[in-house]
Amino acid sequence: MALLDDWNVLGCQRSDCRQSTDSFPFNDPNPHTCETCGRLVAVHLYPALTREYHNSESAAADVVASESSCFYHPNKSASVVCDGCGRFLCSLCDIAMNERHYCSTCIEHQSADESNTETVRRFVHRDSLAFGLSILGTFFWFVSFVTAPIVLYLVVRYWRSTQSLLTRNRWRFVVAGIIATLQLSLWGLFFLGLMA
Amino acid sequence: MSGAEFNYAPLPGKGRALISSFASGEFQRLYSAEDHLLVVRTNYGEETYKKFFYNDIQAITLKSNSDRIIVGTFHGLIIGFVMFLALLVAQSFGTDAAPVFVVMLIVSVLPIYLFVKNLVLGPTCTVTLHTAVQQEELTALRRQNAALKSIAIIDENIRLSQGELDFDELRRKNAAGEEIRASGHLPQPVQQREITDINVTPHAIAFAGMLYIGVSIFVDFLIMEDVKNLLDMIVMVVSLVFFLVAAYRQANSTVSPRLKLFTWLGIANYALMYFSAIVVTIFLAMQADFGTTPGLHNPMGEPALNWPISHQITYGLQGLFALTIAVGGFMLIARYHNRDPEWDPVEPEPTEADRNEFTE
Repeated sequence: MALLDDWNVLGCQRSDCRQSTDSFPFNDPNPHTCETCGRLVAVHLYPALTREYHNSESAAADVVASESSCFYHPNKSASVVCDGCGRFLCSLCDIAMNERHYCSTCIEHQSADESNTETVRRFVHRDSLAFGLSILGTFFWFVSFVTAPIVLYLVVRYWRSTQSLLTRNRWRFVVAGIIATLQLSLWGLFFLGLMA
Repeated sequence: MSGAEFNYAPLPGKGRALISSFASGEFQRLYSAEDHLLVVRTNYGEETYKKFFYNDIQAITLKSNSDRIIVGTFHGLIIGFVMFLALLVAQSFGTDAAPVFVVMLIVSVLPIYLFVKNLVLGPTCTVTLHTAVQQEELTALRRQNAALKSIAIIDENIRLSQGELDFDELRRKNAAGEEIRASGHLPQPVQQREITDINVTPHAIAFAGMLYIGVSIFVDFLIMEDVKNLLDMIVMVVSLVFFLVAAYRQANSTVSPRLKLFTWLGIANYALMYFSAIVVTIFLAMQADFGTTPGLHNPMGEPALNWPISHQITYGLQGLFALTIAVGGFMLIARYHNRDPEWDPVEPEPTEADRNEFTE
C-alpha cells in the first residue's frame, strides 16, 4: 500500500523495513511481530485517514465587487463576524467554538486567560508554589519573614481561582496558609519580646 | 473549583520520556472526555494541556522498544557497583565498616526499588497518535500493559465518534496515491534514517577480546603471572577500542537492536572493570601498612583462589558477565551474517490479480 508506506504508518524509523502494510493486521487489539526488527507493533486506523481535506487555496470564495472581504485575506469573501473582536472573517479564518465564531488572534488571547476553560492551554499551580514556599520558610526559618507574607498573598489572591482543568482540591493552600500564619505569629512574638 | 464540570476520566498509564524529560521534569498523564483526549503535562508546578478530538485522530501506533532493558541494566549496574563497594569495605575494614555498610545499604534502596518496579511494570513501548497535521508521542503510555488498556478505551471512543474504517475505500485512495500526494493532504511522514549494511568485523574482534578476558579471569584463579597480566591489559585496551568503533559504526546500520545492546553491554563491562581496578587501587593506597597487617591480603600478585571471598565473587561475576556478552555477541553476529535468505526474502513479482486489486 503505497500511501500507507509513504506515510510510514507502521511508525518504523528503519529505511530497510520489510514489513508490508498489505499483510499487516490493522485494528487488531493484539500487537503483531514486525518481520524486520522483531518488535511488537499495533496500528489502529480510523475513517479520518480517508477524509477529504479542503485545499487551503480554494476553501474560501474569492471576493467580488460590493462584498465585504476578510480582514486577514482581502481577496476572500467574508462569511462570518468574529464574536471576539468584530472583524470580518472568511471560512479559512473562522474558528467555530460552542456555536460562536472567533479569529485566530482572539483564540490566542483567550488561551492565556485561565478563566476560559474552553481555550486555556496552561495553568500555573500557585497552590504548589505557596506550599513549597511555606516548606522553604520552615526549613530556612530566617527567610520565612519574606516567604510567609508571599504565601498569604498567594492564598488570598488565588483562593477562588481555577488551578487546573482536572480535579484539584485546596489542601495545599490550607496547609500553606496555616504554616505561613504560624511563621508570622512567631516573628510577631519575637519582635514583641525584643521590644519588651 | 474544577474537574467535575469537565468530566475527565483518567486513563491507565502515566510517566515521562526515558531521558529527554528528566532535565525538564515533564510528567505526562492522559484523560478521556466525551469528545476528546486530554494530554496533561506537568512541569515544575505548571500544567499544560493538549486536546485531541476523537473525530480528528487518524491512527494510533504502538511499537515495543528496549527501554526496559536499558533502564534495568542501568539500575543493575548501580546496584552492582554499590554492592561491590560494600563488599570491598566490609572485607577491608572488618567490623569497623558497619556504619559505612549501613549507609551503602540505604543508598542502594532507591535503585533496588526502581529495578524491581521496572521489572514488575512490564515491557515498554512507544505509542504515537496521528492526526492530519501532527504526530504526538504519548510518553504516558510507555508500558505495554497500560498502553493496551488505554488504547482500547481511546479506540472505543474514536469508533463511537467516527464509525468504522472502510478498508476498501482506504485501498482505493491508496491506489490513487499519486493524486493524493500531489494534493498535499498527506500527513507529514516520519523522518527516516538512512540505514545501511555494515561489516561487523570490529564487533567480532571486540567480542573475541571479551571472550579472552572472560576465560582469562577464570585462569587467574589458578595462575597469576606478570606477563599474562600485561597481555590481559593490552587485550582489554584493544578490545575496548574495537567496541567503541563498533558502537559508532552500528548507529545507523541494519545491525539488530540486540547486537547493538550487547555491544554497549561490552563497553559497560569494561567500564566496570576499569572502575573496579581504580577503586581497588585507591583502597590499597589508603592502607599504608597493607601487606603487613595480619588478616589483610594483597589481592594482586597471587592466584585469585587466595583472595578474600568477596573479591573472588566480584571477580568471578565479572568473568561470567564477560563470557555471556561474548557468546551472545558471537551468536548475534552469526545471525546477522546468515540472515539471507531468511531475513531478506525475495519478493515475488506482483500478479495481474494483485494489480487489479487496487484499481477495481
